[in-house]
Amino acid sequence: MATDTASGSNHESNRNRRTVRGFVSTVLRLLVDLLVATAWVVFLTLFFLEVAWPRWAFYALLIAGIGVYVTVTAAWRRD
Amino acid sequence: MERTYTEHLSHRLATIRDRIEAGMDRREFLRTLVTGGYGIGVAGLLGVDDFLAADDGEVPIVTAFVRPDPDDPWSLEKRTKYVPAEWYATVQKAFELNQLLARTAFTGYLGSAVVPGSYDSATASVSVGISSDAGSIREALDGLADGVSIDIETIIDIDDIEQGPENLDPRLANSITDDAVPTGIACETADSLATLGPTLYDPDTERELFVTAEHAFQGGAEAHSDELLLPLENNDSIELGTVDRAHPAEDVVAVEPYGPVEPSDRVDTPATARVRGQFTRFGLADLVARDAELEKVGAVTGHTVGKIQGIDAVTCFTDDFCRYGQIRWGGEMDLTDGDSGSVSFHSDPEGEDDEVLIAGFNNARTWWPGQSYVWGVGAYKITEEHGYYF
Repeated sequence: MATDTASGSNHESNRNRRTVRGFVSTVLRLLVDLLVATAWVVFLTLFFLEVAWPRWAFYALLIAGIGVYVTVTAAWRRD
Repeated sequence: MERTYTEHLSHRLATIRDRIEAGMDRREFLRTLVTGGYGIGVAGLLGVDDFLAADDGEVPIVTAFVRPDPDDPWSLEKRTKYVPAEWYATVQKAFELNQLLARTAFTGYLGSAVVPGSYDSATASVSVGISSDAGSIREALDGLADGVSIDIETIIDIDDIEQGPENLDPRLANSITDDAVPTGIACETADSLATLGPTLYDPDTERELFVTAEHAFQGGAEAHSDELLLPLENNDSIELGTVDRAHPAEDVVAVEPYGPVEPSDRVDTPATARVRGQFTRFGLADLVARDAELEKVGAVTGHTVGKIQGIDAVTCFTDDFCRYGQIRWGGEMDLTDGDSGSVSFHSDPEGEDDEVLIAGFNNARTWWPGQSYVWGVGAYKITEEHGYYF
């Protein structure tokens, strides 16, 4: 009974810790995502200032780049 | 090319779909959407649409600043125009190269100017003036520029200042009809005769000032003591005001009106014109690219028209310092003593027929053989340095 309670609370605190860790890592991932997106947009802007390509190419590259980034990082995280 | 791109894209989409099917949950798709939306937001904040709106291979330039409402000279509006990106890049490079030359100011350097090419050619050249004893510079300058050609002009006999013809039959104000003096009329200092410019607006203090050439005051204009006069046809003269600020490097002097006679933005051409604003540096480059001409009205030589020979010019011919942001145009016969302080202008491409924009001042001319032009500081340079505008 006592051991049961102990193991139960242990299990619960583990879960809590996992949720906190999960929350922190989600926020961190979001921040990294936004940082990478910002860097990508700035890079594209500077690049497009140089080459003067059309508008559709800018937005296509913007979304495609982010799509590629998400798929690649998603593959890493599953490993 | 297009085909391989779409093939590539569909291939990539297929891989993405494969991944989703292979167990990538909706969360990653959502992540792409959120991050992508954020990216588009950042792009909007950076203002990418401003330059992406241009046609393929075009970029916007600000060509002029105009006063849209004549009754409210303190509000300015910018004029923009789309120009070929290649031309813009070459001209920009020529400006940078010219500034580099001016900063280096090697021995024998007497000045330089940027000459933008036409839009089709997408070229530009920098014309460098060197003294005749500095021939070795020629090799040093070759190969310095990439895509911008450098023309080297050897200038001889620079010390031999030749006095212009003393033809002093200036255009005088007959009488003051509407208490405002148009540009192109003679004004007078204690020492010499010059041409009165149009109203110079000082946005810092919201004042409307008279303007003319600084060198009309011998030994330099003294602020708050030297006076500017308006000679009349009947040998009389009116006191216009006292010097407010003198700018010897730009060769411009701003004069605070006493009151009864006000400066005016009218130009005393055969068909009276009105000054609406001024060209920017790239606005002048656009004029050169379109082979447009400048006009001026001097008190002695009157109304003349001529081609622009160089912009953003540096001149180290006179005094012991160099002058920057100058315009070279017309020919040396277009200017004589008494014309200093007159302005060069071109009709406003988007305005009414009688509306003009100022390019700059006309303060000096070549006196050596081989070259023939009038030069003076550009209006944009005065705005950059001192905040005034036309």
